[in-house]
Amino acid sequence: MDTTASTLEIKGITSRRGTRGVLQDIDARFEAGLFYAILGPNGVGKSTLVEILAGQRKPDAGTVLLGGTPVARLSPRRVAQSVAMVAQSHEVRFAFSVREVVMMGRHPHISRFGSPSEADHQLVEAAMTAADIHHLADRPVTQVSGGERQRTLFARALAQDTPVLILDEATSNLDMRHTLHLLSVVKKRAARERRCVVGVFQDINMAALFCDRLLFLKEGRVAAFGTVAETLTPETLGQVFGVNTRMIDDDTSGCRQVLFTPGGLHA
Amino acid sequence: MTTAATEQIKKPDAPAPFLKGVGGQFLLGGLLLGAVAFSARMGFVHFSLGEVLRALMHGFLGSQGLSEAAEIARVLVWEVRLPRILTSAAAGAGLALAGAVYQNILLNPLADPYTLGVSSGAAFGAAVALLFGMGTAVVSVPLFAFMGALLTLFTVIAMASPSGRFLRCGIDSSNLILSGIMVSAILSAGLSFMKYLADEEVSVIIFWLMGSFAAATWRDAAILGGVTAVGFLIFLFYARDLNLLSLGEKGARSLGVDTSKTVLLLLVTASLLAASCVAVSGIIGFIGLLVPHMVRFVVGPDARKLLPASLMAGAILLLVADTVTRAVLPYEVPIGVLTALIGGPVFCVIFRKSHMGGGT
Repeated sequence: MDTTASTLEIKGITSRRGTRGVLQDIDARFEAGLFYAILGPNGVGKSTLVEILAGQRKPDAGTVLLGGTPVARLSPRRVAQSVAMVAQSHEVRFAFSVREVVMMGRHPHISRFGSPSEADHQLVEAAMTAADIHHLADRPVTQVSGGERQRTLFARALAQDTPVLILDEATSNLDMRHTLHLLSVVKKRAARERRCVVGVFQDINMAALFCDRLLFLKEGRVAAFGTVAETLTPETLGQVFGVNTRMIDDDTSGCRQVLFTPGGLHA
Repeated sequence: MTTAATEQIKKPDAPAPFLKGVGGQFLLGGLLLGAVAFSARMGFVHFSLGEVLRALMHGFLGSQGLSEAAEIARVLVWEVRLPRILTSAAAGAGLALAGAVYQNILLNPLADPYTLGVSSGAAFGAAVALLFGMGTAVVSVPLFAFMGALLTLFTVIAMASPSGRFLRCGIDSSNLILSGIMVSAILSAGLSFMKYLADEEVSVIIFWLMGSFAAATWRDAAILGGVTAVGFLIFLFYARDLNLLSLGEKGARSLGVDTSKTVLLLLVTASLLAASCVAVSGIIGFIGLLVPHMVRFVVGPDARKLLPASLMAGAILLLVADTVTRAVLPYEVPIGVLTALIGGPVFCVIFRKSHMGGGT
């Protein structure tokens, strides 16, 4: 793994394209060793932002720097060696086995006519263990449940073994146990191996439990960006989501969690 | 994971591992050789296998000092039957490869040169070339067929994609088929209009459209075989990218595939294959749809196995169908009619199943 490429920086990102939100002049820096959450109301452009971050979508203006190099100047293969992504959609239409799909994560590291090395196989097995899909390894991916398929694609991104990992609501279909386990794995990898993880979350408490920094988007701009203690306040949540909340600092986990009050819209 | 546990999970009706691996490919290769030899025996005059082999040898080595019977066998097998056999096999292989690639890239089990309207587009282009008297040049019919095929492909894809984006993966099945039908309908109306315009030369177009390998020459076999071989090598070069593309455009891109470049190259190559087949043999439906399906069922979706197996299975299928019309049926039925008669009902079954079970 190439650790020099584990910081991401975006400068003046503007995107008007697409139906899902508009981004205006966004600057942010994502450091190695930290887990970032991107939060905001539906349709604000969270997915657009992470797709731009992953080099999958070209912004209308602004640049994405991967370890100081503009992503636009790197080949897709070079980007894929540094940035892995777990996308929102996890549909697979052809009956590859679960193990074959996870092995696809090694694609950018294997030369065109090469075959997987022992190390590639080990990374695939380790990723399948982390995602708890070992018992499904030989099943066609079209025949496993939605959550199991999402875990398969999560494992594929882990097997890609990149300095930067991007999660676009990557745990939306997972049960509590697998969500907690996979996010713990990711957090550990970020801290120990100096990787950079950026995730889009709907669940604010899950973000608060695992992430080091929170970035709130509102109307295409950054509403707040900083540590959980700085940004996770009733004021921010009221301003960004228009909801009434209270905060508790949980002594056991040492994390701040949000308590919601019923109502919300037009409150 | 222990083998006992994996065996428990394995479905009892899964195809034998032998067929999934190299064994299946060799089996298909053997079948293809067998089909070629068998077809060479069949016809107005029947030959024994020994006579066919001797005729082949004489064809290779030249025909000096042959007995009259041996000379007849050589002419029939080497100069009449073999070009036709090889042309139909190459066309079947090309159509099956094109179908496999369309299906993989468009993430759509119902995509093939025929359902996408690409074959009609190629036919329209070729008819334009024939009508305006450009048919004399060897190049113009295939060239116009190719341009017609490409234009149709991109029109159909643009119509079917939700955002109107030019190249987009993961298009909804029914949208794609509907656009294919609409464009085909317009093109066939255009074809009818051209037949009306063609007046006396109409027979050239009609004869060509019906599709037949009856007039196939060694040149046809060489051109079509060459195009199919080049296409196959290009597809094989991108086989792993094709696997990744079957996870969708975004997934493939995040794994390092230069999607826009690769998708464009592969679609253009597939259309070139389909158009060459149409230019030589007229419209032949359903080979491109059915063969990759059947093959995928046996060897799995991995393009590195799917492509060679589709090539061989397509060649076998069209060769056998052509031999049936040539040597078994009392009258020679146009090959396109025969494949549509057999393929149509199978298509209905696949369509029904893919609606109920969600794809293959």
